[in-house]
Amino acid sequence: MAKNIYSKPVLFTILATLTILVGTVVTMFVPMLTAQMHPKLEGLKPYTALQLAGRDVYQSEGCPFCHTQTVRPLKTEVERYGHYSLAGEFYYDRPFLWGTKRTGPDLAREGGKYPDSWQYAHFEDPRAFAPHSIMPSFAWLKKIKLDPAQVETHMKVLGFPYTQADISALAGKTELDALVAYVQTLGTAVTVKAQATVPVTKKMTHVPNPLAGSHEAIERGEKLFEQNCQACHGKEGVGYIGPSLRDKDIFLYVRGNVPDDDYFEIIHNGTHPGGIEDGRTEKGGMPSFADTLSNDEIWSLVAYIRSLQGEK
Amino acid sequence: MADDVDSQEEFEAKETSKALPGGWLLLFIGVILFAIVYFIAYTPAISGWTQTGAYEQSLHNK
Amino acid sequence: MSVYKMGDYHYDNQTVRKFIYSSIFWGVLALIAGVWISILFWAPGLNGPGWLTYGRLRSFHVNVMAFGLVLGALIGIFYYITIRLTKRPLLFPKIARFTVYLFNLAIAVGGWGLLMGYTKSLAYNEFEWPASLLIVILWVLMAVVILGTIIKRKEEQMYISLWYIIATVVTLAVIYVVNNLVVPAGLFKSYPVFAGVNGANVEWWYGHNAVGSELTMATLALFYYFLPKSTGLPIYSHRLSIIAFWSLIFAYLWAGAHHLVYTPIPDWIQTVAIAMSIFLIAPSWGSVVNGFYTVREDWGRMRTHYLTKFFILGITFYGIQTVQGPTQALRVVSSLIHYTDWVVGHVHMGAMGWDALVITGAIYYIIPKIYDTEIYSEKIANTHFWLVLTGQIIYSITMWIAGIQEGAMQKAVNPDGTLKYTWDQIVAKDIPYWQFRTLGGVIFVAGMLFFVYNILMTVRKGNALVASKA
Repeated sequence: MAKNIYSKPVLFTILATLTILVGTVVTMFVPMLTAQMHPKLEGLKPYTALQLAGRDVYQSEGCPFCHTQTVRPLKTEVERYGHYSLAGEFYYDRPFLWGTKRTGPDLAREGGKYPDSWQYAHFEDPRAFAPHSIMPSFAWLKKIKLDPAQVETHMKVLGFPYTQADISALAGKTELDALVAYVQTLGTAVTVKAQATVPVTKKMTHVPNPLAGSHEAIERGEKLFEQNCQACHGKEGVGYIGPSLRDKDIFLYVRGNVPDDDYFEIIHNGTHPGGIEDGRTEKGGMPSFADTLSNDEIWSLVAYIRSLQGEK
Repeated sequence: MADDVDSQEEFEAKETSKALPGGWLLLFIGVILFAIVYFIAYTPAISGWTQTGAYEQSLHNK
Repeated sequence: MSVYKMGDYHYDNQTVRKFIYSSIFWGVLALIAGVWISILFWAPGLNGPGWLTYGRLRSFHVNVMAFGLVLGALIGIFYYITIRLTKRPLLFPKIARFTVYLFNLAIAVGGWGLLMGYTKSLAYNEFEWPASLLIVILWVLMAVVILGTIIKRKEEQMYISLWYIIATVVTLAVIYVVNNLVVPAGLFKSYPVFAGVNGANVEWWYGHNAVGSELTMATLALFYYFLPKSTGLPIYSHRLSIIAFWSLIFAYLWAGAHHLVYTPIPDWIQTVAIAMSIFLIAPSWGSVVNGFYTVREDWGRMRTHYLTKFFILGITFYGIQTVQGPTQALRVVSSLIHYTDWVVGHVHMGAMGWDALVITGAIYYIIPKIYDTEIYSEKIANTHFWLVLTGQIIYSITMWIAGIQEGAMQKAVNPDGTLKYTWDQIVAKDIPYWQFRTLGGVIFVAGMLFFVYNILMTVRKGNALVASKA
């Protein structure tokens, strides 16, 4: 064989390098120089000191191995999680934490979905909320205190704004406090806007529970309650993270009986802080069970809750 | 099994200009054609297709 | 034939051996971690605090496997191949020896860090910056030794394996350095310079090509060297090797964004990546066809030459892998199986089927050669082969079924358009598959332990031989 590039190693190495650089330049380097790779959603805020500390914990504990943070623009995915992810949501994310695998559900819209108290209780004992969950308990994070000086260094490196008060407020906070604070920010730049447009309903006619008093429905409701509601509302609805359900005269912290179809709506839609329903102001914090429970199942639950209140 | 340096002849047949197997050549051309068609069909600047557009459309399809 | 005698390689061979032993050590740790985290999937109560939690052990498993086992073995084997194909000892033998210690230090620092929760959270690049810095230095020194030896070679033509070695050296150097551009924020904490969608695009350009260089190009370098060596048959077509090589290294670098299908990165980048992924079937199968046509001359060698089956089964799984991968890139397929256990099955078929078979096959060839003896037991090697094959197939198939089931349940809707299954119901259905996966993993690890035993006994035999000659 005559002299060719396979007998000229220097030339060969240069050619091989140029060959791998073509795709690199076109799909990675050039896009980086354009605005399309650096979008920022209007109203997106940098992380606070506590949230950033929580994000560091989220990384350390490998949360992205089981939870993604990007909702794909696919019908069932938007149905399950909420609005699909937008490029501008991730402007402050160094690194991005989209993940690769959903052993647990996506968390892109997790922020504000549950109250803080739910997040704490869930981190400590995930299986109390989802019986088949394989998430490890993170109760041990409660014992690890944040180091305010370290968090301040991190804020400086990322160039996020903070005050000395923010830093001193970290003293005594634990890694679990930080983690909850971080998780509560996820997707809020998109979801907060979406919530503001939820129409407030007020209607005068009420639909009774078609399954009211049915023994079968009450039994079914009891099972559903144990699986879906007990973790927050306590055993037999005595109240825990969520309010007690046993007293029909003081329900949702408001005096006066609430009609069946309002129970239905609260379970179906969840509650949104500040929402007004039939004159009641909602405190929020209850997730929607529209994706989890069928209409019949929700009516069964209402029947069971009524049975707890002594109405057979 | 003495450990020694290698000779090229062990690795490559003397006849190094063996033709490319026909089936493989067909595959090579086939995937190039597929790649070109796919690129045209799914590049917004060429076909107008976008993933969010496709999502919006899927909402109207039953 | 050559002016050099075996004795000239004595020092270099020791370096090769040290790399191989080190990589086996890290490999055993990573394998144990792998089996353990597979158990945590169906026994979550076994998670402990700190380094005993899944999230930390999982990154330890992946990174120590990729950098401790695979990279360590590859550097050692690169040295071995380079010496023999260039017909000369390594150019800077002392530097080459130094890279062994540097390598072990880097993996120790990085692996310990991951257990402590020090991670960059970039897939396949999770070691925090001190370990990454050590790896960069290691890689530069290794490149100097290997490229220097090749430039000063005594054989005019560079054989195919050297092409793939050079391609691996430059590709991994470029991608690893770029994806490690971080701002340190303490001894074991850093933040990448790239943010959000841009960071994602850089990461998967890296991630895909880390696999592309380490687990594909580098492993092909081994394949093209050890297949003719172990069968005594020359590679079928030089022309096919040339086309496959250049089109593979060209196309690989475009395809990274197929990991980001349906994410908010620009549509056109995804589309280009998917199209290039499909194209990649051809160069990948160039090597598959070349391998099969080589052994087609005499299939009997699958029986008579015990190592042949390692390389032929290896390239078969590579062939399946390189059809499966591009298919997964297609939007319609991605929408079903992305983020599910299917992809876990895919990755493990590549790692346990292709890379593990080729690398252990190469080590079976090298260690007796270095000692001028035979392998301790072909029977144990065959037992190893069948166990890792069985374990891998159980693993992959179980995860493919689980993945399709997960994807289908996540997408299932009731007639009224609401979702049919809650997340908890989907997880509940996965448990038996996860248990089966552990079974596959245990069988695979048992096979690997047979391998380790066989190598240890060969070394013992070799050392006794050396002592008797002295």
